[in-house]
Amino acid sequence: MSSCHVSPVLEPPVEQKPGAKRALKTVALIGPPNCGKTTLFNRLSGLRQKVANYPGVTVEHHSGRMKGIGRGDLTLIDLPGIYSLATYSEDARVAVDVLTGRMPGVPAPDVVLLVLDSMHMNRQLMLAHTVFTLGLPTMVLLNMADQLELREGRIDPLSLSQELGHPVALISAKNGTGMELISSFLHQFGHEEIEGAQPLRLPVLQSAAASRKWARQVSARTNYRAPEASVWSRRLDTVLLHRLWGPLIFLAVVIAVFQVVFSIGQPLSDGMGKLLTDLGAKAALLLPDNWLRALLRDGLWNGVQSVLVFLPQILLLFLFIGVLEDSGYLARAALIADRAMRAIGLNGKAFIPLLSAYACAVPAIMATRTIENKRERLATILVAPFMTCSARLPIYTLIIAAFIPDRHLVGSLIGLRASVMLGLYALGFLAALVTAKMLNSSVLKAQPVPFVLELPQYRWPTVRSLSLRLYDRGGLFLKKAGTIILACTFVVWVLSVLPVHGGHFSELTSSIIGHLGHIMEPVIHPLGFNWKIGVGLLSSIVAREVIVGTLGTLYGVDPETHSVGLQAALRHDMTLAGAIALVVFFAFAMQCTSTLAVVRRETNSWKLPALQFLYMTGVAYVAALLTFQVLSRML
Amino acid sequence: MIALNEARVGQTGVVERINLAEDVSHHLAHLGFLPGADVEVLRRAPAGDPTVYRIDGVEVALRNETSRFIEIALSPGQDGHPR
Repeated sequence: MSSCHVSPVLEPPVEQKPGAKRALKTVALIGPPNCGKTTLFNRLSGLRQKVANYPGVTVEHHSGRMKGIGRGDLTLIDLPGIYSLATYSEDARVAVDVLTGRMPGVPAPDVVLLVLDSMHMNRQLMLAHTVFTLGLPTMVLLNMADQLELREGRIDPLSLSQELGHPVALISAKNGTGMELISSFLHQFGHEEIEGAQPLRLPVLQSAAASRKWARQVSARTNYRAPEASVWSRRLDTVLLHRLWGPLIFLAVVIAVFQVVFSIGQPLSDGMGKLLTDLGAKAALLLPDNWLRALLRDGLWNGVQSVLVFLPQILLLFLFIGVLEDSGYLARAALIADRAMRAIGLNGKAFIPLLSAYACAVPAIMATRTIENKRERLATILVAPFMTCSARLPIYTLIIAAFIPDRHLVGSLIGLRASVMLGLYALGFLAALVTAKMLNSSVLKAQPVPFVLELPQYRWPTVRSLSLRLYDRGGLFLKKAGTIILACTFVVWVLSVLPVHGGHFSELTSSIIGHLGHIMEPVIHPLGFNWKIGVGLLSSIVAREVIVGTLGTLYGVDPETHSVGLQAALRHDMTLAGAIALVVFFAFAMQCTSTLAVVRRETNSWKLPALQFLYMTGVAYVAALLTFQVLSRML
Repeated sequence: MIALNEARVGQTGVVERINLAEDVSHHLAHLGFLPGADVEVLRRAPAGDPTVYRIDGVEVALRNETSRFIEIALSPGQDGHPR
């Protein structure tokens, strides 16, 4: 068993001896895409869940204790959303391996909860057809019962249960109704232990047409009535997908997101920065005035704090992406964008990974799994890191706040700062565009892939699912600030005060890091960067946002800029042209070891991430060079 | 029988045949594109392509390059005349 893929809170899988009885331990959750499975998973497991990857593949593995219904003794495994166990996708293979107990490190499930969208039961029952052949105790959960009732659909769970030979429950994961039915289904196994004798069976696959016919017959015999099509969903589409209004609204939405992230996020970040600085100063007074105080305040606190202040803006951005995705608008956006994406040789499906790359390239690259064509997938992986991810926000906002005046453009419609930010986003997008075009017309000339996009009904995003998302992302960011960034700022601080001369720390310029910075100064001088920025660039190869922490530490230990804030220190040290060149560098450069690692894993090659790193950094260097040389003559 | 991409917005019909590669048609089948399924042309994307179809109660968008390989029989009374 490879233990690294199982979270430590989970118990090791039970050895399954044929003929032996075992207690109910593991429950698998399976269902087609868009059936509300994730909402149900969150409801059943509460906040504590573990996310990892299945060994050897790129499919995410979510598991958690079923605390949400008071069954902390049970482990719930969330399987990827799939239409059929027979698809040719990695997702389906993973699902089959887990269900049949052949996934190393994952306990074989004892019972299955099959989630189906009750509004589209005809089609969703097709999956049930094969899942039943596994021979595992299975409960069918007809989700979105509230919506079904609202729109005058009808399901008879009792006769359906008789027809299927498995218990059926009408539930609403969103409202939490029907959870007690799941409890009592699981409860029955608490007393009479499940027969462990049954060998785990492979699914018996039927043709899609046969499954469809079976599903249709079952629906007919149980008097299923599909709900009326949502009128307002359709009406909303006549506006949001309108020939003229559609694209305009699309643009307005994108602009509004950025405008709000800055107009609301900036004051929040400023307030948080002030709070953290005061806190650090007060805490420092309690410490004796020696090297320990210097280490804690100048070294660690300054560095970590300068990254922490971006938490409000990053959360706001993820909030917007969450609202767009949960409401169903993201699929419409993909539809509007498909034509444009096709022009550069990508399809509308690449739009969704590329859009999530605005949050972070790592999940985006993992999301490219949905692109069936290998070559288009590779192209999407290669261009995704050009999208402006949230890790670029810290350095962007720092430079913008320090160098760009807070003025309004076009009346008071949009601020100068917001438009500079938008410009940087556009720059990354253009780089992705040109790169994709180049890839497609040369190395990766791909045959067209069918574009199949399901448009879900519009839904109100729930506070619950949005806050879960923010909790998740915010937690990841804080974890990063608490580990990688803390470690980096510590190393930078140590290198900036060593070597020790006669019991005294070095001056910054004569320290190890000072020497390092001076060595690389000739290379970055033409870009308008001084040696401190150079050290920041070096440290940010780990992760982009680290540069802010490094600069916070470097300017914090420098007696000249010790007392002023980071923004003032930068203004004192850099020209406007150099500052713009710095953000341009960041727009293009590949400074993220997590992304490189995920590209390596997804493509199973070292060559590709290496090429990507060299290409992106090369582009970044040339672009920053041009920017500085042109701007410093103009300004 | 006409190709799906030739049907106009508002027209309805029944899927007759799908002339696409095995893996593609398999994927489409699980979204409801199977012989015998009712299909309605709902709307075109702002750029004119892809087109949104209602099939089996679900809205699915396909590009012309895909839908032209799906043959449908228009519902009676709709031959050439938009509703």
